[in-house]
Amino acid sequence: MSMRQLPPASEHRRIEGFGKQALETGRNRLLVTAAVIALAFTGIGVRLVDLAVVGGTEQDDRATLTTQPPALVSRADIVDRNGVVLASSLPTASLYADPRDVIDPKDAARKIASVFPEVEADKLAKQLAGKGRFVWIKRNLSPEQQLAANRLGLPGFAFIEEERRIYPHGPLNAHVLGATDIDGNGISGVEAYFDQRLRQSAKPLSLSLDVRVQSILRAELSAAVSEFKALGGAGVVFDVRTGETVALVSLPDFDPNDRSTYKGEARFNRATKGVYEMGSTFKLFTAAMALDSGTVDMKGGYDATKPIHIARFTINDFHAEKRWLTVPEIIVHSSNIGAAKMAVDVGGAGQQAYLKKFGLLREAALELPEIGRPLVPGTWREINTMTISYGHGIAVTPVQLTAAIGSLTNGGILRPATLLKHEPGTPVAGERILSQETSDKMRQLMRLVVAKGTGRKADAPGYYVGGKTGTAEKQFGGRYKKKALMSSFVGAFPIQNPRYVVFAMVDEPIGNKRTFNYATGGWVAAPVVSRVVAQIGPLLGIAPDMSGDEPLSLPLIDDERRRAPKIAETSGFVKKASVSSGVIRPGAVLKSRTSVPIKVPPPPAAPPRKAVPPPKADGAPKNETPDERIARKTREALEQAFAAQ
Amino acid sequence: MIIKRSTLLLLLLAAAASVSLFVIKYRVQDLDDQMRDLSREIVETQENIHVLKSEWSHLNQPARLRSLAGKYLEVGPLDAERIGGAERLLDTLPDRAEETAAVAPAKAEAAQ
Repeated sequence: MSMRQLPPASEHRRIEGFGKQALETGRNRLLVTAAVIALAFTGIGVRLVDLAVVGGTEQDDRATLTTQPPALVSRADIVDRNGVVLASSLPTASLYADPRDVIDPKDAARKIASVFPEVEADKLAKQLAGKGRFVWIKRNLSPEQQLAANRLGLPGFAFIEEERRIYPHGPLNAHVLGATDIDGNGISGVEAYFDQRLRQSAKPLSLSLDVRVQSILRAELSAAVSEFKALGGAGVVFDVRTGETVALVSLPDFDPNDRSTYKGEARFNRATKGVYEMGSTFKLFTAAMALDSGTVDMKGGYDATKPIHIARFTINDFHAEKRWLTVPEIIVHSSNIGAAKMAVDVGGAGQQAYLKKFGLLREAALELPEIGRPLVPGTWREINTMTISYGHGIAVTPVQLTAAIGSLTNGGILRPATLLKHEPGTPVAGERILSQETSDKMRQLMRLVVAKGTGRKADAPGYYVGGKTGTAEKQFGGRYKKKALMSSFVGAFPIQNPRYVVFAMVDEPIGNKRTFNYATGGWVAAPVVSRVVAQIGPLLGIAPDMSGDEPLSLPLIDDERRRAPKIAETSGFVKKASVSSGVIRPGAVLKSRTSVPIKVPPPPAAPPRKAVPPPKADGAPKNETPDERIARKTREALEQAFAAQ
Repeated sequence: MIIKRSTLLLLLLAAAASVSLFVIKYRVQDLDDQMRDLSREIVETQENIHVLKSEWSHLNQPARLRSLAGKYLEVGPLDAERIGGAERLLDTLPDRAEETAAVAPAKAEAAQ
């Protein structure tokens, strides 16, 4: 503490001057440093309080559910209407080599060939000895292959992460999905049509297809193709309410997983790209336009006694009835003469206008690159009107046909065919082209063909099918070939209230012993439709009707028409009424528009309904409705249960 | 030299603060690593799910299921015969008259 001793006065002043200055500087520095540190610690302190007490910045530490998975791959999945994966991109590794780093090309090539038997050692050795810097060895390896290649430990070889498009269902959806090239670009089908969409959004693309229905249709169609040694076939299942294509098959097809199968005939989509003369199925359109425009009604008819000679052609019937035929008879007997006369009555311009409304004169708007352009006559002469009336001289695609048939059965509204899933609750595109009455009559006519005509084999247990067979001779260089047929059947079910149109076509079937050498639509394609309907009906949740009674009151034909009592035939109004309600009992009194009561005559040939068993003797009231019967039985069962206690 | 009590306290506090700072820092680092691992795992799992979905779809091919069911199960596809309303169910219930007729003698026997 000697410093504290005061120096002599003179010195003191001097030292004081020095010391004071130094002290002052030191103090100032200390102060500044302290202030800075204090400030820093204050900052840290504030932050600490902020984090520990206040809770820090607004950070949401609740787990968030990522609804949209991040894009793991560069191409979106394609799924069916139920979310089943139809196409997906999986990450894979591809093996390549940089020849500069390869030490012993021959040895390396030999080792590689031992792992990948399909690699040719000599060729690879030559490539590896070359001057390039990049050689593909094998692309899209499986994990085991990758491991095996890695084990070789060869210098100069490396993997690249790539993607591979895989199709878990193999050839099942081939013609809808199409194919992709090795770099994952769509080259056909939906893959090509939605190429941009699949790249841009990771959200799966939902198609209207149902793989279960697709599987059934393909199995039945290929069974028919192989049974009748046919060139191929096509099949479509179409939802008449939404326009959704639930199944679409074209045979032969390919496996999109295996590019070597994607070639030749197998690439051709018969259901959307192929245009065919559909034959007799077109008579349905002829009848629809005649009934809708009112040139003839269900009671009217035409004389089909003699063939029509026009220009250098003769129009004849396959099963000539050689008599006057009503409209239902023309359809049931598939009379070319009758159809031709019916179409001439509608007129060429009218026919053209109706066919245009049916969408048969322009390309279908289906979401595929493979869409066929219909073949339509350049100038529409009377002979064209006549041949088109029974499906010759016009060629359309199966998708066009099914959509048009859908409009005949769904109340008269054309729903454009689509391959995209329709979200329930959203409006459906559609255009009314026929009246409801015409559509009702068409359902009767179509049912008649299956109940009593050429389409009998199309009926399925529990599901009433209505449709039309078509057997067309194929054209080769402008001439028809007798033996080469295009046999088809198009049907709607359940015909009381159609939900689906099912189309089956077999290309050049050869008749066999079982079919008595027939290869017509009724023998070849109708059974396919029957089997498809029997299987997809329960699958798609359509209630079957096991009553065994005809669901529609069908117009009388042939002998039954001639034999029927006059009253049944003339009471058109009554018959129409019983079609729409279906529950009118004999003897009921109806009021007509003019309020004159009309007695309903007993139907000429109505068998007793099996669904309602005859009243039992145990005091059951007569004419009990099914609902009343259920109520009574339930009551009785309950009473008994209580009595037993 | 006597160190003031407040200085000592401050020194202690500073030491405690730095220790806890390091502890927290390492904890944060650990959590960060954990998060990175988890996100990698999530991506891996998503990839696996993606692959397995395709596998699932492949194994559930309707044609394959059909052949397997035919081989190992005694069930077939649902046909229209097996679909019906409540009315059909009630058909299997006996009618009241028959029932009482059947029950009456049994009751008489029981009474004896």
